Amino acid sequence: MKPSFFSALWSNLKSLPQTCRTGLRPGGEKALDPGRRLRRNFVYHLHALKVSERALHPLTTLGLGLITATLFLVLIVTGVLLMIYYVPTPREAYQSMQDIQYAVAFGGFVRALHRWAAHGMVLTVLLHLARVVFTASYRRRELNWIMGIGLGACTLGLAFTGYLLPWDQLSFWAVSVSTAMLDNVPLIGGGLKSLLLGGEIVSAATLLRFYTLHVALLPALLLLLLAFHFWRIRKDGGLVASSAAGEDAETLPAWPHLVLREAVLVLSVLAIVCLVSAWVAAPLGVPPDFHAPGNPEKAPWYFLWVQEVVSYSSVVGGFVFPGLLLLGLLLLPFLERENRDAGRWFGDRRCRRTIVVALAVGVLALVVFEAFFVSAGQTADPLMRDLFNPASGMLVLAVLAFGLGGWLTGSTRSAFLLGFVVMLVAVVGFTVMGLLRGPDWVFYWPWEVWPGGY
Amino acid sequence: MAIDHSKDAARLRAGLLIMSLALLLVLVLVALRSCRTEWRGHQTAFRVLGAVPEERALGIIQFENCAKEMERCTTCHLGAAREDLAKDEIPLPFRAHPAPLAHHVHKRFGCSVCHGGTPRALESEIAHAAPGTGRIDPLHRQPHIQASCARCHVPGDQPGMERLKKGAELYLSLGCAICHPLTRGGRGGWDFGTDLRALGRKSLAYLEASLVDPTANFPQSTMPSFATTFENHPEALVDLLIYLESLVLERAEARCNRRDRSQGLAGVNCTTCHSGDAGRASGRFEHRCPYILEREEQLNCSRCHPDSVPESGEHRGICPVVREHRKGCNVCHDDLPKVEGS
Repeated sequence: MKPSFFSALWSNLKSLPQTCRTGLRPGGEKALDPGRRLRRNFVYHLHALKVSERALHPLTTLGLGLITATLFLVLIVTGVLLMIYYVPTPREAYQSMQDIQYAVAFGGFVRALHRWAAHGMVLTVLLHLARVVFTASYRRRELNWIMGIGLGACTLGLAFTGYLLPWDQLSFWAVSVSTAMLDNVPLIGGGLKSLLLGGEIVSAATLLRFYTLHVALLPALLLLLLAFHFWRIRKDGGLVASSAAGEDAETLPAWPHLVLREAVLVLSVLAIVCLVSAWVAAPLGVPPDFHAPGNPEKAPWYFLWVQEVVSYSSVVGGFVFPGLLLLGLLLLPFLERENRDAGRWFGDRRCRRTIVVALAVGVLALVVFEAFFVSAGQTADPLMRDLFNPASGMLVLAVLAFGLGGWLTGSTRSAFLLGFVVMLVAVVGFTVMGLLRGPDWVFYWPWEVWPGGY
Repeated sequence: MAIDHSKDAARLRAGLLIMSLALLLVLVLVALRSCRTEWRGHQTAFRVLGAVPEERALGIIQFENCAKEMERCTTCHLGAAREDLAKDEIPLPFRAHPAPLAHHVHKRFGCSVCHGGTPRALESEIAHAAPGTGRIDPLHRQPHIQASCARCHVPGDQPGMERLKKGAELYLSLGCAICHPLTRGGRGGWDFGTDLRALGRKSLAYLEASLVDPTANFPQSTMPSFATTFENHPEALVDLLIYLESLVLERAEARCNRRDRSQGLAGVNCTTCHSGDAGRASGRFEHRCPYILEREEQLNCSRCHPDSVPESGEHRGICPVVREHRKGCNVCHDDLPKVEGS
């Protein structure tokens, strides 16, 4: 053995602190020129070197995309922890939930984190979508918009498949109710339902399928889409540039101004979701009674609007209304290609006025439809039921607002905003009404006590 | 709206520090809350009491009872099975079980088979409640605890389930079974009433209201009120309520000892199949088929229920598990389709 081996080893050992500093931080080598050093930093995979001051303002995006991504991270970590104890068989699912909730150290906390982060993520994904529509950030980014819709669908799918896993009375019947709504989709609805359930009813096969979707397929798909979504934003130059001249002129380096802002937001989200989860436990209901659904049994809140409109009539409620909403969203960046008002909330003054009008008309129409259509639709004739479904009314109104508004203003942007706001009013309104439903699907105010029950 | 570069960076760094500390604080609070559990307090109190715990190293104490349910009750009820702690001066969570448990030894049967509750839970509020609800389980109180006997036994003459038996007889003599026959599909008889096989999940108040004023919980109900029947017999009302509370679909698995099985079906309540016309099923179970009823003396059970009814030995004459229902019909009726469901 040559002595040079030992001397080399010794000298490398002596310079270990130094090589750790440089070798573990590839961007930190002093020998590189500052520009190159910056570009080698991982941060610049996600962000441009410079960002506009407008992009840094918290009101520009409300940080909704980042909040969603943070909550997804929380969900991955807590989800993997829950997988250690959870058993996806009908016999043991509920028991393992009880173990996690009551006996496992920090089990109740981790479960609450998973539950509240999931509800939060669904909410922020939907708000993120609304933000992109209202700031016209979908323009010239058709692919990323479609990816975004796919991410939203994955999020809803994850939330929905996770809803069944506790295997309590609420989850069993909520999933039974929600999957039954698939019957209204023509041609593929029945097949899709059998594929999802592994049979005609929610059973052991369903639990295993939902579990597989929830822990493997959907998260993998979501991660892939998410990476692509982020990469596309980076390649498209970050946030959509404002079309107002000079608004993006002032720029700052992304480090530290953008990155630290994001870090503060991420930490805030983590702190808030931990605080909520420490004090508000995730509910765990009674074990499922496969023979007796509760009265009422409702779908999870993000599908409640579908259940509400299906309760009036199935074809319009279960297929036409949600289908046209999805179609309209998918076509939005292809049909709306104007150049003004990009990156600005609600566009110019004229746009804002149209939104206020759409909001007022939408709310008024919803109340009117609820008051007059519902009693008119109480017939056995399915055509009449579909015709007098409040959702049909709102759909016609949205199409009218879209066509008429577009024709009057001569702007596709105004037309889509009008249609979107009317549909938004409808979806939110139907969700609120679904929440107010009590036994026998009758309306009750939140402060009224439901008759019967336990 | 020009941003001052250095000021902004300094502000952000301060914000980052504050938020990191806030998150750390939240996590410490969570850890502190999770460590201060009720059961740890009880175990400390037990040691202070001077009683020597049976388990050397305490912690969560759990075992599987005969119904294959995991129980953690003795994590707090440390003296439940110890005769030396059956004294009144011993405070409640540690005192031994008051009545002697001759047959239902704690080691096999545990607590929840009789007392109900959520035996997997460790917080008393949840553990003492009906599973998944905040409602304190009424089975904890006498005499309603007798409803638990029906988890394994058919209501009969065994000591300790007198009121349950009276309730079962009332169910038949009052004619409840005409409309609510408790058959396998939940349907049968005159088929007026709703399926009551999972009625035990309802609260005591709900059950009582349904008997006294059936429209209270179900406005469209056409069931007659039993208010006058029970007006001068509050005891009888309680008896019937105990029987109604015992109606739960999921029963203890048939893993108890053989004697229990011979005294009644572990796992299935006989009235599930044999409700009969009102009153007829009290005491013994009868077939509804007139042909069988006429020739009851000549036919023995095993002719129609081969492999189900042992002809000799401990279970002789008593139907333990009629696994394949009505399979025996084909003995006489060749043209019947084979085993329609159950």
